[in-house]
Amino acid sequence: MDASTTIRADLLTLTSEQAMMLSPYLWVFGGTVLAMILSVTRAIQPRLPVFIVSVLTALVGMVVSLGLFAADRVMLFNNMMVGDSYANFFNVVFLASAALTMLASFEYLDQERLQYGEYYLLVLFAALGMMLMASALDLIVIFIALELMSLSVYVLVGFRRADRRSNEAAMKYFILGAAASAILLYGTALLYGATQSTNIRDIQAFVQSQSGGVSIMFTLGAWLVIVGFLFKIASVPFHMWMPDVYEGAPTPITGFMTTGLKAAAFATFVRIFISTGYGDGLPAAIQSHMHDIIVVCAVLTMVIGNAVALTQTNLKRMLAYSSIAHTGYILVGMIAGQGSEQGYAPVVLYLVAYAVMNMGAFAVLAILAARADQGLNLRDFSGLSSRQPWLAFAMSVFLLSMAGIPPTAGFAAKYLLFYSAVQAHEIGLVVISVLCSAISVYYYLRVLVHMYMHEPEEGAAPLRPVSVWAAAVVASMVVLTVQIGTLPAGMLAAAKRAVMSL
Amino acid sequence: MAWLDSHLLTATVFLPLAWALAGLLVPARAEGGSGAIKSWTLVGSLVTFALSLLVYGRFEATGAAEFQLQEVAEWIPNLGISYNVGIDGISLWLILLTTFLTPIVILSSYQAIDRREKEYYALLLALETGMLGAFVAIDIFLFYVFWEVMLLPMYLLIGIWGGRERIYAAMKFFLYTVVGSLLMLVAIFYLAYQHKVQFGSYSTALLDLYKLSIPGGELLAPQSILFLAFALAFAIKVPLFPLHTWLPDAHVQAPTAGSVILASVLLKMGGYGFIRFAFPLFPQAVALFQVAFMTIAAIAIVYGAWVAMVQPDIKKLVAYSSVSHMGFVILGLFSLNALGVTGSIYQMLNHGISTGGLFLLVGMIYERRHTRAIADFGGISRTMPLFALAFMIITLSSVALPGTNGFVGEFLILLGSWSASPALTAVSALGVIFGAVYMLWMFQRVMFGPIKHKENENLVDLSFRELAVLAPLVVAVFFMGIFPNFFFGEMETSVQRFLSRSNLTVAQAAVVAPEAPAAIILQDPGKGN
Amino acid sequence: MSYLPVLILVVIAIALGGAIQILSHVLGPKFPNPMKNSPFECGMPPLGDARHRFSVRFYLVAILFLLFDVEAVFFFPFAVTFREYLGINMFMVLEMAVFVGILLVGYFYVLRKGALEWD
Repeated sequence: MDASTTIRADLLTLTSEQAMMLSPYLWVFGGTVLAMILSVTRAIQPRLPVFIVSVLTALVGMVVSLGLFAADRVMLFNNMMVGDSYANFFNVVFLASAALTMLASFEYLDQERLQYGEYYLLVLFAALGMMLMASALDLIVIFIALELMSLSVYVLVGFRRADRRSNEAAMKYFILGAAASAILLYGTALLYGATQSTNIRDIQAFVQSQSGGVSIMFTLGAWLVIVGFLFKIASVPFHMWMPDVYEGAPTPITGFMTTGLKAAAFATFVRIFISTGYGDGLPAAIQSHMHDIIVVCAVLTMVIGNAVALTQTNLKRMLAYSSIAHTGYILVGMIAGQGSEQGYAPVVLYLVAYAVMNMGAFAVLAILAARADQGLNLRDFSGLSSRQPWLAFAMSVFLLSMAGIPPTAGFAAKYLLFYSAVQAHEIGLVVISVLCSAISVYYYLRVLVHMYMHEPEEGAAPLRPVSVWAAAVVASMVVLTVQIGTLPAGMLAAAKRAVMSL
Repeated sequence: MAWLDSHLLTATVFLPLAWALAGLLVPARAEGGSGAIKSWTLVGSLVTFALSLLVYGRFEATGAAEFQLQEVAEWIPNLGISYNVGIDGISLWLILLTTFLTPIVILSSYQAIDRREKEYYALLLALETGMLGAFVAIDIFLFYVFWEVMLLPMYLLIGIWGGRERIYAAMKFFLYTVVGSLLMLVAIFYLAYQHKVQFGSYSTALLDLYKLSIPGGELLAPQSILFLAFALAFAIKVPLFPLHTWLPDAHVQAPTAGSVILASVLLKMGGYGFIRFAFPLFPQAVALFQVAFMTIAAIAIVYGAWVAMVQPDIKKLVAYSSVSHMGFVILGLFSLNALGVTGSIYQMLNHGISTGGLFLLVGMIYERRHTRAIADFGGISRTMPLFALAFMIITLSSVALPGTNGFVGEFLILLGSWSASPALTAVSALGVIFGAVYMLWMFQRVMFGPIKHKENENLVDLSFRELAVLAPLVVAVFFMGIFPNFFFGEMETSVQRFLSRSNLTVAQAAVVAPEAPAAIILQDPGKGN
Repeated sequence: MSYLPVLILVVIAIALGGAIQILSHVLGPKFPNPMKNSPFECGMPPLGDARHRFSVRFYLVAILFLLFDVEAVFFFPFAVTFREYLGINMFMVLEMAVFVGILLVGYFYVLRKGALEWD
């Protein structure tokens, strides 16, 4: 072999555009490393500096990503990663979600006596994994990023080491998550076998060139990859792990999972989805095949998620099932993405809206949770409006947003999502979706009933005073929920720009 | 003032909400009890009423524009959604009804509500914003937003300050409405999408949607299905038999002010929705379902009256009388002629006044006796003569005695529906008779006869505040009964426009209405564009 | 015949390894005890119940070993090719410096956490 042909000089330089695109990743990584060193520096009392450095890392990274949002697309690392508006849009979401999670956690960790620096590090590492995932174009990179994210979150789920539920959740999540990763990896291998590439752009080009249909190996590989992602987004029938994990995880981490993790999985899913089976120029046979099965998944997800949520009395568990239901709505948007003019923008907008309202709701739960995450049952919310009027109000805003009542983010997002589905001629699916939303109104309102229409339980433990950090999180999420709900045009335009850059 | 001049409707709609938010800063428990927040709210509602009078002053009965005082602002340009408000001769009166009743219900709550007053009054004002917004919105998306927004304060009013079964009632109220309105939402999506297909641009403005041509004429044609989706939402709200079952629960459990608002304004939202949206958008479907809906309306009239007759509880009786009265509204609308439609609109206003008045009266007696069972009363007219007088006037208005407002409305409706269907009119006319029977029988059992219960001997007659609550209603009863033309003048043009859109025969005859869908182009919606 | 050196290497390796084994067996003093006779001299009885509890430190050490060992694998391809790339620029060397830096941070963290102390 001639040595000169193996040397790729272009891989040995980093243009200034590339360096700029990489700056959020490098910044977050650098900040994480700094926090890591701080967390083991005995000379200083570690918890507050680590907290502050971690939050600042996420916030500044968010601002940097925001600044890069409008920049042109830059290919990175031999096309294995891409820095486009889509990636930067989601980077903002992930980093915001990480920052808010940490802010909402500080007080909570004090109460649980779990104030370790590692908590913040793991949140940041998970966020970094999400960022890499949303910008990766290569299945191998996606896998590595996914593992970085998942491994961090496995640990975070089991962070309440003394609690059996937390341990159980971590174990369950780990084993099922590992199985999902294995499925994903197997699918990747098959795709590589069928297309000679792990790059999703190359795979897309390969499929587009196959006029007569694709081999079984490709179909199977695409399916395994998609199943891997259905697992991560907790679509029925791959949802079993979710309620237990959501219930067992520390409350702020559950919030982190519903916001960052879900957004990351969906963001990557969209990239893969449109290249391996449901995008421009792909053979119709593959598309209709893909379409039918995702429709079935979406309907099952909505129906089962909502139906089971009806009977839950633990708020965390209820929100877990509601999260499954919302996954179903987003899947409806994914199906509609190809046939409607808005494309996948409603999906992206919905993810943002969902992240905002869930982050807020879980921040409220984290504030209210008694020690060891007790006191999150429906009856513990009785009379909250007289005990903590502002928290009750904030929680109502989030719940109504999830139920899709205007003028909240949830309504605007749902409107756009279902509207695009009608455009894609999926009217039957939309009817099912709105009926499911109607069901969901019942269980969301039930919390309102307890908060506003019941008297406080006798002998209820007094509530802790709300910390400044957590209050700031809740207040900003309320503002965002109403802002996206009343003036969605700006966010929609941003989502559209992000999707256009795909 | 220049801003107010060009944004009069916006100011009217959002003033109550802003006032409510500012009211949250008023201390709930000042030195002298909760007087501050009460006065604050009352003043706010009166200012809103004054603004709505300004709206009335600016409205021109024979204006050329279909919607006056219109304001348009971009909202979600990507989807052609705009903030678009305006009024015509129909919504004008419903707005005035709303702003007229709100101060009355606020004043009536002074004693009945003794806990969490701040939230209560804030919710009442927020509710007013929702109702006004729904009446002025002429963008279908905006309408939907207000339509849902107003649910929530009502839900909380029933659920927090209601009776014993309040939570069940509130939940039922909310779920019924949400199920209906979500299906309407799907229909709205479809319409908005059709605009894109047919005209190449997004729009949810009502006037643009009126121009759509949607295939209709058959039972399963898109127009029929869309109409049914809209009609379901509005029929639940009206409420039309057999979708009325939420109403007795909600009415009985709600606090007095809630019942009044519910009966007087929220039910009107259903009728208004038919007038503004369902009829003009889907004229062929209206023609198709005309007889069916008139039949249902006639059943509702008679059924409501019969069920009302056997109620042992006054409030429940009034609630069922609403079912009967609102049946008339639907009957008049579906008769599709000027008499019937004008009568329906008038009947909506009447019902707001008379049923609202009845609920207020029931509330007043309930505050004294803490019971609403007819059997617990008797001979009240001796201890409370003023109360009895007011009760009688409102009752007579409710049974449509000539000279009162109720007569004008029901008479016009029956006249109008006669030309559409004599048989159904005859059946409905029975409802008028039954109405007289149950109302007067109830009145007699409560007011006359010996005083059977000791508690009733020492009842205090109406206070000055309560008189102030009832007096405007009594005046309205007679004014509307004697000078109906005062109201018809503003309505006439709008009703004609409405008919030229909604009634196919009128639409085809009228060359003067160029916007009317004179020819319906059949095309497959799925393959459009 | 470019593989001849490998063959020579293999032969020498086998010869040397075998010679040392045999020589130490023949020449070395022998004081056997049961622990020494067990196949793996790591303090673990090789037979018995598999559900035996043993210190979590074993795992810790094993994982740390794995981590640092696997990372060392990255050095080999680098070592083979970096000379050619040096002709273009220092990028690869810098990258390896970053990589080593990250390893060192990890090492520092492990050290300060006390994961390398047995007690």
